[in-house]
Amino acid sequence: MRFYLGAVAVTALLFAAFHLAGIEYLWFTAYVVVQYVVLATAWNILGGYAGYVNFGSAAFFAVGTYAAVALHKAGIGNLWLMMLAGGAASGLLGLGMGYLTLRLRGAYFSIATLSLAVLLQTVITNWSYLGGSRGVYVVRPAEVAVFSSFVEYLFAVMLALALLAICLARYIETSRLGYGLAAIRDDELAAEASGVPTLRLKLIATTISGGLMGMAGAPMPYYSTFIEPASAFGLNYAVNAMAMPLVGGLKTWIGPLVGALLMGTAQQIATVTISSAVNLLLVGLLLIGFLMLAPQGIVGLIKGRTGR
Amino acid sequence: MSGGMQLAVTSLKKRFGGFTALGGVDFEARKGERIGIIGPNGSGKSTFVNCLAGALRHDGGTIHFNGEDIGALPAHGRAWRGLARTFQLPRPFGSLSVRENIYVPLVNLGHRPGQAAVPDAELRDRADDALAQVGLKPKADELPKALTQVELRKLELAKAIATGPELLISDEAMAGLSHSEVDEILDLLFAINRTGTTVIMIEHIIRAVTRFSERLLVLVAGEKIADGAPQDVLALAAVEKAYLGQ
Repeated sequence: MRFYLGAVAVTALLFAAFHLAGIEYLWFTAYVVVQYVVLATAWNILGGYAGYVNFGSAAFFAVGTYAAVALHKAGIGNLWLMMLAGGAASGLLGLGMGYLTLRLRGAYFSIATLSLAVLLQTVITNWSYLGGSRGVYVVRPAEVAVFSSFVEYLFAVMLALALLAICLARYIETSRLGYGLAAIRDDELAAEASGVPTLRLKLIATTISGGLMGMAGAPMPYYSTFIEPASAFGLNYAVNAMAMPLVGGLKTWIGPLVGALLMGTAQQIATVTISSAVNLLLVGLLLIGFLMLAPQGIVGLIKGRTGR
Repeated sequence: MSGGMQLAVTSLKKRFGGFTALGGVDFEARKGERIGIIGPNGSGKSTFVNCLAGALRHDGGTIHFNGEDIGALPAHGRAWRGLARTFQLPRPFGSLSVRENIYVPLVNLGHRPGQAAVPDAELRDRADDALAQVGLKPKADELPKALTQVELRKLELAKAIATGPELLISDEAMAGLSHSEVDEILDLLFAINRTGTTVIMIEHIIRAVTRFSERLLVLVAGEKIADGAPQDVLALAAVEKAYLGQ
């Protein structure tokens, strides 16, 4: 309980600090970093806890985005409804994908998730109602109650989602589900023999993981006001969602958080100071560096230092 | 010691491609019995265990456990009904501590028919009880990679017995252990059996099997060639031939 209250307090303080700073650009940038906290945390629930590497995070994110676009097109512009729809659509996608692919293991599962992303991108690219390949403009509401601007509102919403994701991840870690997923990660056959209903738990994990990614994608139409398939399914999402937990450290909730904060911020700085194209190069180099020198991630490094 | 019928296997068949691993094995176990299964390498012992526990799907025959047909159940479904097994090569959950390894079966105990789930507050005590039973409690906070081979075997057993199973299948829990270590594991299996758990022991070490078993079964090339009191079975010419050749 202390943890959850503490997390709420930290989130509130963080928001207060950003609010007091009062810089629109800061909110705009921080939104992206916090969005990666959600994506990385969501990825880690399946990839870190259960050991199933999902290459298709971009698909879950984009399905959330396009569910919101569809809702907006239908005349429903409420952000919370959009996020619910995005989460539901991607959660269902996770469940369906899990059902079809979770009998595959290791690299085979990962390749299946990658093909899912390609398949869905093709569908969306040819779906003219959702803008097709030309993309679609989404007009942001002019103002919003309480907050000083809509961008600050979006930042606050993403911050709340990150809080939810982290609390959920932390809860799962020491829950029955968490022990089951850890057993699956270590040895699926032995897990079954210990009474772990492996397929069921994996489906729960893909659903939660996918649902969170979809919720993270849902505010995107309002954030960027223009959505087109190539960027909605962008490589950044898939690579970052995976690289951040790997750099931060798998298996615990804190790893993806640390990884996303560090790498997300570094990328934002690189975008401004060097070029936006250097981003992915930076991610790639960091990933290779960590996999070679510190495969347990930053959290593993610190634990190694302190002897636990 | 032994009571009513617990496990009834009829004409169990398993094929791998063109190779017949089990050619129709009949087998029965009564509650509380101690049964040994021996046979040369490749005789189908492990396949038999895997078919019973659900790690492999059999191709023919039936498996009844406490009167229920469990042949179509997945492995976890059989575990939920009180059928536990250990693996020939220890398969610990490497990223979990020794104590957390025991949590895994314990948190799934609530699925057992007629059994209440273990409350979170009791998990630690229940796990430590199981670890104390096998003498691993001092290592509860270690990772499995810090354990010796015999300790890993004990961890396998602790995982299997933590839930108080009705039937325990021990698949070569003693292979590669020293004389005194074999005796340690034997004592453990005797203790488990005294609590009412049926124990089926697959073993190569004849000394251990004969000391432990009330009944001995011999598998050769996927067929049961003998089933009876250990001394009688070992005296059979066919058994001697299977082991030593002619």
